[in-house]
Amino acid sequence: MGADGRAPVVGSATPEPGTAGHPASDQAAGFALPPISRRQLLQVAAVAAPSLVGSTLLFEWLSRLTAGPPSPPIDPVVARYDPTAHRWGFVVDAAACIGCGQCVVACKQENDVPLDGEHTRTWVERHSVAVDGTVTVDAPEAGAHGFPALAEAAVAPAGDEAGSAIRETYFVPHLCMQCEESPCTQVCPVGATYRTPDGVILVDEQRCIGCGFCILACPYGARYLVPAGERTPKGVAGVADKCTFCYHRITRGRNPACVDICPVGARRFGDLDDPQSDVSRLLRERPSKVLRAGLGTRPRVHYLGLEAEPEA
Amino acid sequence: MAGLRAELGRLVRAAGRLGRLGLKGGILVVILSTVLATGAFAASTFYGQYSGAQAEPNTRSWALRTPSYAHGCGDCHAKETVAQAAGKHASVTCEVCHGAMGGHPGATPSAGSATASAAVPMPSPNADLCITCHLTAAGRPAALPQIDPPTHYRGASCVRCHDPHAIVAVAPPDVTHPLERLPACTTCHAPNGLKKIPTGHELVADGVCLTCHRVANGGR
Repeated sequence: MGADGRAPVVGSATPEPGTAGHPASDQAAGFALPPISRRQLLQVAAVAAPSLVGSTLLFEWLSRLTAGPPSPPIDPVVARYDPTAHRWGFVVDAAACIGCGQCVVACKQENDVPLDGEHTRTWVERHSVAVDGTVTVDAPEAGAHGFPALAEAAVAPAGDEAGSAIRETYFVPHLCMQCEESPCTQVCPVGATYRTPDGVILVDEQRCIGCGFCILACPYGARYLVPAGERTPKGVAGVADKCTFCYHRITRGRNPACVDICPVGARRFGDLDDPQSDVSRLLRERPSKVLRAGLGTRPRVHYLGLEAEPEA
Repeated sequence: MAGLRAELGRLVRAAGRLGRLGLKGGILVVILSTVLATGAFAASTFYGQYSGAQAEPNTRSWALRTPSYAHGCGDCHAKETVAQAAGKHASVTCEVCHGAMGGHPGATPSAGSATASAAVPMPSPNADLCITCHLTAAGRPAALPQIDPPTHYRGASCVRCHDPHAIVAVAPPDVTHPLERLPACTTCHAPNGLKKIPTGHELVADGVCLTCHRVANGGR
């Protein structure tokens, strides 16, 4: 359309290269767009602008058409929760832990986690440090029912007798470290595990395909695949599950269940951005460490009283 | 006049061209709109794209779970919590021993009114529960009281001597008389015997008395 029928009669011969004519189109060697006239530009704009408006309207209409039933009534306390206003942290006081395992029981009860020791979000280990520095770990049933009088290392000394004399024994509660540089979220091929703005790593059980990459990637063993059975945290088996810091409790202004239940205050939870919080105060006042710091995962779970623990 | 007619004719032709252009453009607009909207819609729906951008509904689903553990037990159970708060178990919250009480009336907004008195089964704490913390075990801090069950008043339930809330130990009276050449304890110590045993004291077989009542002052 446009200037048809007005074929130029003058200068219709191809201009010699390098002469006036149309140097740009010649030099472009096929990479440049053909020259566009103002008319053509306006025509494109005349189509593009209403198309954008039209597509937006159509998109809205499609979205409304396919929207499910209105979302369930939100707990007013949860609705007021602002995830960008917190930076949750956790402090484990290994020196205070008595190894009663009530935290494990509470976690399983609170979150419908399977009751066996293999599938668990949190567990308690007993570390027996030998004179030669080797650490032996026992955690029967994830520590959920307490510990026998003697550690495994004391009952059956492994290897040479001299090196296995136990220097120190203490309990180490474990849970998801909610890493700031989390390997699990990086390896997930379907984006099913993600980090919330307040720093909690969650699993979208609808997206998880159960490939187990995150379980392999986690340096802390904090994840497990939900087995088929009566106890499934989100009613779905075959998906990865992990500690959520009891997201349903912290969004209501409460502590995770393990923190509330610990009879000796060995588990503390709070906002690292709040200088008055338990966790901020403890981290200011007492020396702390994170597990496997050398991996650069920057855990949000800090440990007190692990001076005897050899660096991993 | 001829000039005006020619001008009108040009205007009509121009309008016709514009109309054809508008029709073509309109068709183009419709096609483009549909393609764009369908693409955007596909990308926004569940299987369109894997990214954290769709995490919001899942985060909400985690947040909306119902807590199993309650709090604020003392609002109703003041007697027990006052005793507990004053004793050595001050840091041991109710649900450590009694289990999750989120379903208890009044514990959560969804669990019924605070004045409801429906009985909720409460796990009865037993010795197994006590020794979860108080069994002498390697790794426990020395400051924590720990017992060796075979030598610590074997056979009696913990709460026989230890008030479960105030944690005041009431030691059973020692045996202050010699035991040689005497018949079975229950010969004299019986509900209607020469030496009555307190009401409420469970009747036990003769052989177990000495596991709690320790022999002092030159007994056997």
